[in-house]
Amino acid sequence: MITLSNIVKEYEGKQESGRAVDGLNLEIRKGEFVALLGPSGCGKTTTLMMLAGLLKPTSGEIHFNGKLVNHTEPKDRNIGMVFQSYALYPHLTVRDNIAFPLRERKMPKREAYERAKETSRILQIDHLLDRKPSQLSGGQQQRVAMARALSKDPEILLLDEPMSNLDARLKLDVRDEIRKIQRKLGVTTIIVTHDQEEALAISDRVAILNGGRIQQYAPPHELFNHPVNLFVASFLGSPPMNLILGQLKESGGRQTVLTEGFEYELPAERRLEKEHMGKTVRFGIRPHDISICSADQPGSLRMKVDLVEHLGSGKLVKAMDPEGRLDTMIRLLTGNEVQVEAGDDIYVTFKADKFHLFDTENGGLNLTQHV
Amino acid sequence: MDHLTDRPAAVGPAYRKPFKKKIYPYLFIMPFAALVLVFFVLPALATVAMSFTDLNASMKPKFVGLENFKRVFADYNLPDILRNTAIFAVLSLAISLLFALVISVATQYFLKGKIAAVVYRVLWLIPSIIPAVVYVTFWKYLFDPTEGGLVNRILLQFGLESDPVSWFSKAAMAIVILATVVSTISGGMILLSAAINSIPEDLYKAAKVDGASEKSVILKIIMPTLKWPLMYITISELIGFVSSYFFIMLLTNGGPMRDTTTLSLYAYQQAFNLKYYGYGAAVSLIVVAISFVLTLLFLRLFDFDEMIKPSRIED
Repeated sequence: MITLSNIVKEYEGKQESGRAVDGLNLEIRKGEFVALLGPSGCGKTTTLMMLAGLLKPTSGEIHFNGKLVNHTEPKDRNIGMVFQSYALYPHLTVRDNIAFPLRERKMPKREAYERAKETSRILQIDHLLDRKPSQLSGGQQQRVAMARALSKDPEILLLDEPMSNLDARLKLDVRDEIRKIQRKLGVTTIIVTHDQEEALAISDRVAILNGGRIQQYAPPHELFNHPVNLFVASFLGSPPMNLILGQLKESGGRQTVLTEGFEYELPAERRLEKEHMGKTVRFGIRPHDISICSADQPGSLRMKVDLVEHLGSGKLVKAMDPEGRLDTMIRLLTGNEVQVEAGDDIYVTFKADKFHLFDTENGGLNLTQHV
Repeated sequence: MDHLTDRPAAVGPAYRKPFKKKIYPYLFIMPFAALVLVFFVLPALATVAMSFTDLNASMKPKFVGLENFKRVFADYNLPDILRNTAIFAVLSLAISLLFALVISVATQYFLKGKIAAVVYRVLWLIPSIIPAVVYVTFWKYLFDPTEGGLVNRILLQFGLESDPVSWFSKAAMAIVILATVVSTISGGMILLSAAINSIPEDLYKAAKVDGASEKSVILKIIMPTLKWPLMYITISELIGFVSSYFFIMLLTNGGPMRDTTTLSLYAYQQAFNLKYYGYGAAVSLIVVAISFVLTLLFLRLFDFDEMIKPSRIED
């Protein structure tokens, strides 16, 4: 088990705030696959480097299996690491690259080569052992980097954006493969990525970072369905969640959100605490939780279609309210069978159990209860 | 896709580059080609031609065939001179390579990014930017045989020697090599430092994670990167040492006796001091031949063919 408590990392000579990681707490169970996800500069790579021991935290404690490792050298942490650039030793053959960590541990050459061969078989690169890295394709180099990281049988595998240099198609295959190998070996794995689809697809739990802090740490479905704050809600999802500015109102036992374009009544089972009334909020709803309906459906809103994008699997409709009073465009997803074109008037409804209300203060806290 | 490309291409009048465009690249090269011809090719041809004549101060050359070359090989000075040349070239090369390597690794790996390391390397450039004549004057002052020489003064001051030492008669070759090496180190150092600097930071990080020792980092990551720069430095410096005479001429003029006379200095002295132009030309052609053979040897030694070989990539 890995525990990070109150980790702070300050870079020397960095202006304003200067904290790449600012009070980070994280717990990773043995054998778990965890992704650190966030925009660039959020501190995810810095966190990984501290786990590797290549950077030392300014304050806070890192524990591996209950043992403090703040000052343990990388080589003594029993970790394997795959770098974004793969960082293969260019002048060594694939075999020597994979055997390198073993040879540095004074393992006899024959045994090290034997192990290298075994590891290369798992990654299906045993036919490339005599090549130099420059003679390999990107995907093959990636596998060699994985093999080198795994050859010493590490307890923890650290992956620093390992797939960002692969083309989109190959990424999908490699992603599955990494997951499969991780399951098979049961090695605790931490991946840093800025690709949310990758993070959600591959991991048991995802930690979303911003500004050097963890915003939410949860399994993928929970992040997606129950974002704790505005940042997580707006960061996750493509196309992104609609976030419409509005105000919470209560009158005659009805709670509503009043936006510039419409008033939406909260369903009875999702009513909020009284204290929230009067607050300025963002009404959040994902594009696929908005559906086009007929004009006579109760609670439907009239919208004017501005643009229709064909995504292949469906259509992305961008619409405005007819008077143009909303502060933002509404995005919604429909099936290909729905006939809709720019300039059309449509009626839409929101799925009553899917919307979120985010406070515009208090760090954009999600005020709605999980149902 | 094949059935599409199998179709014969439409036949039309082939595009022909207009003459004006064709001639452009040559127009750009022409002025420099003229310079190359006048300053490189003609003197080389003249030297070859001269070596087959008895051209001397009288300026009435007569064709003598291979006579000059026969004389060179029969010259009783030759064994000593060849030995001096070999000692000078090999020791200078070895010492300057070693220093360049050690300084580069120290400043660009162990002290990477430190201001002091950069300043230190800049200091090493001083000898190569000072005019040779001034630089030689400094060395002469340093090892002056009288009490006025810096080294002698220090030795006398501390009572290590009772009489001033005549350095240039005792250790002329050592001084020549020392002075040469100090001023050539910087060239190799710059190339090697640049090569080390080009190693991606990630490789060092990977090595740290893999538990690599400093020895492994240097031998398995840094040194292989330096192979081609080392080859270039070795060959260019070696040619430089074999064919340069200027420095030695200013420092010792080949003396005492012929102790520091190298082949190229000998060629110069024969041609310009004694005005045996034909003979000097023949000696200098031998210098060229030696340089040529050494270059081929080192290209082979460094396995240059491997560098030109294309890499193999498949998906």
